[in-house]
Amino acid sequence: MQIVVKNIAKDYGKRFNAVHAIKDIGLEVKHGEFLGIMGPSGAGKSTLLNIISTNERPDHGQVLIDGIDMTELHDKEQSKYRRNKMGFIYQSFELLDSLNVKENIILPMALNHASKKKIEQSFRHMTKLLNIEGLEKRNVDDLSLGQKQIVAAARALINSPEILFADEPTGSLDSKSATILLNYMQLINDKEKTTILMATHDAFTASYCSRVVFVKDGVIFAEVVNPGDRNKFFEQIINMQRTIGGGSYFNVSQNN
Amino acid sequence: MFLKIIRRSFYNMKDSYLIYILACSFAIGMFSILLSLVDNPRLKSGISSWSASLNNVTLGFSVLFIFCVFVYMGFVGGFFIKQQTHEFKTFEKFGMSRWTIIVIGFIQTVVVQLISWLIGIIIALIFQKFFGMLLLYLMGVKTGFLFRFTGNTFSMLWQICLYSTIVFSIMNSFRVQKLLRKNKDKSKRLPKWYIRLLGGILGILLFFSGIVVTVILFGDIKNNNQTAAIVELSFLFVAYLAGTYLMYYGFLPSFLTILQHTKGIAYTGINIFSFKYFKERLMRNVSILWFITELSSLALILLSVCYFGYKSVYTNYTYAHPFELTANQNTVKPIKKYLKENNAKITRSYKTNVKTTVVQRGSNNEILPGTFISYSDYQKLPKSNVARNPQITKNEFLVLDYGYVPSFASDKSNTAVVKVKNARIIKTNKIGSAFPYGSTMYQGLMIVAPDKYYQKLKPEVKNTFYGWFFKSGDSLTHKQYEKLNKQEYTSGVQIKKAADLADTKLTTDTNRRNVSGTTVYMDSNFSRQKNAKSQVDQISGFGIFIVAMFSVSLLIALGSVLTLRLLLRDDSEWKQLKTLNKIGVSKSEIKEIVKKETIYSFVIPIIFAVMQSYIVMALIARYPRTTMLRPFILINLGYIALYGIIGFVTYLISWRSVNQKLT
Repeated sequence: MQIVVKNIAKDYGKRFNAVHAIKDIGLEVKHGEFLGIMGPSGAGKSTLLNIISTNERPDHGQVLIDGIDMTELHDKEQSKYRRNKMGFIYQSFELLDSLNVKENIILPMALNHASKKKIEQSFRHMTKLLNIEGLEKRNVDDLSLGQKQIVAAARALINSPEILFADEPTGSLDSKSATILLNYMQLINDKEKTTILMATHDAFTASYCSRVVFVKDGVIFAEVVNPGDRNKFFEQIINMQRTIGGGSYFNVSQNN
Repeated sequence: MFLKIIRRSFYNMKDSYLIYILACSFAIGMFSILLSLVDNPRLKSGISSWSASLNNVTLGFSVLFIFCVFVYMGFVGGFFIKQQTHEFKTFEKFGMSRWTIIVIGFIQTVVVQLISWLIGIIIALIFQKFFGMLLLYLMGVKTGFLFRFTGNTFSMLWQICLYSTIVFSIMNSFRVQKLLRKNKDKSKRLPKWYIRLLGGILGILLFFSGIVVTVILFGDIKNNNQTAAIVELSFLFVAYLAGTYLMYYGFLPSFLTILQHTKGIAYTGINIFSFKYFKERLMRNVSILWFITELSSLALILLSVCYFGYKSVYTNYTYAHPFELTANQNTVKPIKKYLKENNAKITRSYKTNVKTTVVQRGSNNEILPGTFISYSDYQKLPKSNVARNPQITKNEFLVLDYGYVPSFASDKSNTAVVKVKNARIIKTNKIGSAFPYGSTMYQGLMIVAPDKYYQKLKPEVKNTFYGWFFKSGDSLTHKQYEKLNKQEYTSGVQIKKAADLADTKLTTDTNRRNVSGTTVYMDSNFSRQKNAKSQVDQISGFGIFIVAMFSVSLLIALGSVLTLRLLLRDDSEWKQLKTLNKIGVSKSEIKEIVKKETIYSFVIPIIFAVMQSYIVMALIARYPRTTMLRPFILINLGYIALYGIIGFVTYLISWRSVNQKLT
């Protein structure tokens, strides 16, 4: 799935209190790309993800996914698109308190009216893969933060989405769980050619991406492409983070 | 800072506060109007019975009304405090003292209560004249209504406002304190599923046994089996109250649990979420749904009983006064004289000779006077006066027995058997209750007999009845009426009972002599429709006014309770709906959840309430001639329609608030 973001902007608040969350951002994400979005808090990472994932509408600009202008779609069509093609891992988990772990994980499949057999199969596969077997009957409230994040990830991935949006997916995980999740994300990116957009603060997490864009004050400030060596890429990301922290300007590619 | 918190709370729950304030204001307005009507000078002067009794009845109703309003305020006022649990606990965590949070709860309640009272009193000031005029119109009193709000009324309202505001504010302060202290474990608080299931089964058994007992009650009330009826009513009271509660508590959640575990159904679309969501919301609102069901049922029963009461009064009136003016041989002379003097425009006049003798009523062997009228004379009477009686042929008997048709043998419930002194026994299934000259003109039974039977009958007393219809009223002056009134109950008959009916004697009585062994039956010597009509109009108009006021207020109160419960979602519930939208559930599907929840919340209580209210049909089963099924259905449909409108408005408001949160 190719994603093209054209000159989108988004303000929050009104008149004098208005905050420019996104200022004229352009971006292209190739089919099967694993894109990282980094930047300081309040830079606009989550807003950018929300706009691309159609959870929010931009004030102006376009988001084209495989040539379809998502900003022109009706709410109902957007919801259908999200349900069928997208998966989400949110910073705040966004799990449903009323449902237990199993019901939370299988929710996207049930919404798509998948067969009972397929639901059960996918659920077994996913819980085994993410090492959360035995949690299925637990209430969401009884889980640790890390467990909640894994469950949220399982929910996002169970439907084999074509695009996966992840907002700080490893923020609440210990290093082992984080590695399992990231490896799985990389696996589906490689094997299934799932396009992944991931917002993160963490350079280690970002080092799994094929490319990282840096957002600051609502604009894309810089980008770093994975040279094929993760350690080197990790260092580049760290350096870029230092640069942003120092306030230096970094040229962005002509495409943007 | 505190004011900002309070302002923010009002803003966040503005829809809910608005509904509560409007419902309270309406109720306070109605109460203030009722209270101000008690000592209204125009009502005192225009309605003779106002000072004597109706003002006290109005005062009594206004006290009852404000009591109900206080129950509502006490109950619903707590919703807002409960809704802020999370917020208050956060304030406490941030270091705000418990006392300060309690003061915030107190001030919020004071503000809401004072605004409600202020708007309520303004409503009363604006609409007092309208409601006063409506009351006079319904009572058929042709006089203008005078707007008046005395200082006494104001002072009373102010005191009630002040004390109630303080009481409710203190109540809510205690609620705040209680919820800050509470630290219950959610899992421990919820009863196990099997307890709910057992409760649910018991609830179903109780509720449906209530329906069976209602059917049995029909028979017992019809057969006047009072002891059994009282036992059955007591059982019904417990069965319906407990059964309904247990169905909400146990059966419906268990049913939803079963659906939720039936993967074939639950794993389909939004069902996976909605069954659990509905169950949680239901379990949280069990008491409220139960409360609304029982009050709706009570309202339906009261409305039906009131209608039946009104119909009884009206039927009584038409039975008692079928002519505009009626006389017998004792009063015919002065009445004719007055009519001539006043140039009354008589449109139709009737005269009928009757014979009175002793008869014995079949079912209870009661000996009483029987007034006979010949078939030919009966046929000459105005059709409107006897239209409610069954049709008879010239050889048939017709027994007129007021309202209640007895039978000689219990196995022949549709046959009246009357023994007549020195005449052959009468057996007939032609039984009526419309006395052609009015029920007050003669005591005991009236029998329409074939002409031959009538000719042969040897009466102990003879009389003649006269009846008139007029073009523009009977034109009797007040003075003439007063004179006639003195003669109203001055004659009748006296029965001296003996072992045998043939030896029982009936004589004319003009002195109400209480001789041992005799029974005196005094007849009315005349009857005037105008006086009775005015009284009936006034009483029924007053009744309609009060019942309508109570019903509308009750409906608004019940509707607003449900609306508020549906509107007031806690943070977790809001978050869940938002999450669903984020992961791809469309707004129209979420709208469907809101719609279904509103439908279930409104439809289930009204179904239970209608089923329970059927008890009223059993209560009036003794009156077979009065068919109440149609009015009962109409009353129910009317209630359901109004209730449905509130449900629809609730759905609109509820969806609006959800949509706002999602956008």
